[in-house]
Amino acid sequence: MSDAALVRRCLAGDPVAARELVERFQTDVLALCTRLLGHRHDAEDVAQEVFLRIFRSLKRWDAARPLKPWVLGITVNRCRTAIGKRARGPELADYLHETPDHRPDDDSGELTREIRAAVDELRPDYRTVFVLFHERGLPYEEVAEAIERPVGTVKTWLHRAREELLERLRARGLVEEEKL
Amino acid sequence: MNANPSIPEACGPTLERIQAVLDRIHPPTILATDRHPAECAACRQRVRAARVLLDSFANPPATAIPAGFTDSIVAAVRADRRWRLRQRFYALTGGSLVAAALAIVVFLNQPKPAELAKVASVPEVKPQPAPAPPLRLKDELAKAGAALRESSRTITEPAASTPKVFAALTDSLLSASASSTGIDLGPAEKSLAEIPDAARIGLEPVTGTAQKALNRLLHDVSAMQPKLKS
Repeated sequence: MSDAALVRRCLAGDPVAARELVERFQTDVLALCTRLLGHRHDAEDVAQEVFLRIFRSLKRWDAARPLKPWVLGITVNRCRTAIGKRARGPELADYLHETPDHRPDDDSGELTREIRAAVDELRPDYRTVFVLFHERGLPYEEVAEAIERPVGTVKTWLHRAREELLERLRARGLVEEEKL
Repeated sequence: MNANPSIPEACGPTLERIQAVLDRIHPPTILATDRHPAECAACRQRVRAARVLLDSFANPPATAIPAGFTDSIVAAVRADRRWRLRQRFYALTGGSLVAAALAIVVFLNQPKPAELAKVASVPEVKPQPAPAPPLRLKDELAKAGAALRESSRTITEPAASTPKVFAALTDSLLSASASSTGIDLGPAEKSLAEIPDAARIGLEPVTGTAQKALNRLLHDVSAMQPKLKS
């Protein structure tokens, strides 16, 4: 079923279509939340908020454009809001206890873990475009649509993110000599 | 042309190739076809760094969906939808009640037909005429005296001619007293009105009657105390 047809059925109140829409995007949404927030429980909460926001805003979706960047754009915005709240609020003891570091549990291999940790240390804008492009596989145009920035800005941020990433990897001895 | 002067010209194609691979324009296998890194240590390291990144991207972490995650989201979406429908219903009901209450208040405050008729029968207020100039008693008495003096006939002539004489004497004073002066001229007006009547009746010699009336007029005027109306 196409995205447009799925959205039409959701707007008509079809519960099967609503479940299908959640299943279609939940992996991308949860993965992005996890990568941007670095905390699994927070990611699940924010992912639920994302889907509530998606269903409330479905009427405003432009059927002429792809649905996935629109969904991931909402995800990025909700993650930004959550990061902003976390920065303003007090850090909870159990939160710190639950997250000794920001590495996902299912990583394998030291290099992959190091790269993930280096990505987590990037500034939020760079991290967002890096995750959307390299980990979620979105093309430049869809990344630009998701973060509501021009393609040129996305390319610039992505280039700087790679340079910073390689610099960090080099500092850890994983990449030698001069940076890319 | 290489934009970075610190990078040799020979490294340019390799850098472009690496960039194209990172941008997913070309597959990573294209890096193996490049001979330059074998001769350039810097480009060898660049290619190695690119491979490190590409290897990590090749196997993105699998995101495990927790059990019941989909159900919880669908249930939350349904609950949110029901909540929004309830909110909309309450808003509509509340709005309707407020509108009905307003309509009742407006209906109860409408004027009744009798009041409307009363309002319609209220006479139109006409503009007030300009106030008359203030009355000056001395001037009016002077006019009356002048009229008396100018009379060609003596006051002792037959009674048939006396009403004209006394009318000329009293008219100016009566007309002046009729205007709104703010002064109570009742006694003086009464005396003035008696003069022509007495002359017409002619029960006694005109000279005596006129003299008495004139004396009485002068007496009343001298005893009069001006009183302002509120």
